[in-house]
Amino acid sequence: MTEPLLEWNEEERQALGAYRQALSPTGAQVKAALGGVSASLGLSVLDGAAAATATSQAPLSAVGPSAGAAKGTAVVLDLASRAALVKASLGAIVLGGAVAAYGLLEPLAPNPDVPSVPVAALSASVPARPREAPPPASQEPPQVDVSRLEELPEWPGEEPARGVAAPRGHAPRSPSASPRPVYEELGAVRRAQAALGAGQPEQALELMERLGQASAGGSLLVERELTRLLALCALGRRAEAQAAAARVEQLPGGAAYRTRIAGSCVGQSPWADEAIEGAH
Amino acid sequence: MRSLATTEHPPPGDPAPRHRAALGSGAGSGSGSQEPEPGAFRQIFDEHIAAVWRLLRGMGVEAAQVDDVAQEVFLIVHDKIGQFEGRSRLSTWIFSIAYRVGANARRKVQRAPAFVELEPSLVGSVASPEEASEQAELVRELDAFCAALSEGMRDVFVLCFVEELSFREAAEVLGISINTVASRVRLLKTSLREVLSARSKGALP
Repeated sequence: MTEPLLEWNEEERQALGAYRQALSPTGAQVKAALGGVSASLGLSVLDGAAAATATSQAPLSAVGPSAGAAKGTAVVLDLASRAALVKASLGAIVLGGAVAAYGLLEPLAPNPDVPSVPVAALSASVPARPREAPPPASQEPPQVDVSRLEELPEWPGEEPARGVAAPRGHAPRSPSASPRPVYEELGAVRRAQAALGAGQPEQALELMERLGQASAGGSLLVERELTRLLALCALGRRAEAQAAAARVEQLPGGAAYRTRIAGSCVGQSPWADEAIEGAH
Repeated sequence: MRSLATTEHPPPGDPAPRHRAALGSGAGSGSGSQEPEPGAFRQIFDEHIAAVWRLLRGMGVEAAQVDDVAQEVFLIVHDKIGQFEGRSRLSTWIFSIAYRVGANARRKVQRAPAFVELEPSLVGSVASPEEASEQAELVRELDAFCAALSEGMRDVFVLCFVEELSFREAAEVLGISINTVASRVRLLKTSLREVLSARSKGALP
């Protein structure tokens, strides 16, 4: 039953509806969140996805607060590609800024029907929490073993993959390239993000450069290039950052980061301007 | 007058039948060890992600953090779904989790919440560029209005005004009394009307 105080005239209803729409996630944002949750749960829990529009920027639930619940099919998601899942997850990391942002939970007012939130669950932006053993490989596509993220060394400076010619990690994806396993890409980008968050852009840039030398291809090219861009910005190397921004735009899915790039040191680039203007 | 949207949630205390599968046999046992079936959990995610996202954004969680925080919320939902006892709507239970996680994330950021970053597409569905511009301006004003509120008032605003929770549900989520919620709603409604009234007057020739 609606509280009398929560009844609105037309103007108020429209205003709150517009605000609700502005707060709602886009399809791409939902996909990124889903990808992160899936990765954390072992990529199996959220299988069997609905339809998808990976690049959709339309905000969800523009009609009302229950629209998301009432229209489950409106949440257009695509889990067809496992690589895309992890890619989306990484997008969440890159967009989310520093990794390990939250730290420990502090208790709030107790509520008997609200579970206590496990501290461990909040310790990382995309926690690697493998669950059940994955289904047999014969039934499922290759899965990302996120547990291995925690086992990765601090980038051992491995030799570049044979046959990979691109030197700086921003070559277009090539079928002939030998991309590193996605969890290694993910681990490298996570470490680079952590370095950025810790005020060590040189280290972040080095990690991305080494990753680029080792593997020109991969599933996370946009995130890698965006991380390079942010590191270059932090180092005051704006011209190189602008070049990186142009490369991000050219990569599949790169347009999703326009707003993020518009807020970086290359925010004055023509297409960043376009994004900014379009947002106002 | 009517509410902003038709609520299609199940009655309080009665989780939707479609969610029962997600709750598993351990639902109500309080064991917390029962994991939801994958398909059912996916349904819960689909049905609540937008609302959780709006709550987090509305609370003032930084835009760049919302993705990560929302993921945390659903990981916790996945972990704790077996503890859901059906004493409230499932959506209220999820809101409670989201509020706690969001409040902690917000606490980590010792600066004023950022304004909503409007994506171009957010204003792309309106009839004309002028209308889009006007709507974007309206949203900015509302966001400025929210940013000026105390956290307690802002939380009530997003729960009751944006998500249309009842006083009782908002009180449950926030861990405050129903009377406090009602009092805040009354003040917020007065203030909101002043903002909109000033805007309307400003738009007159």
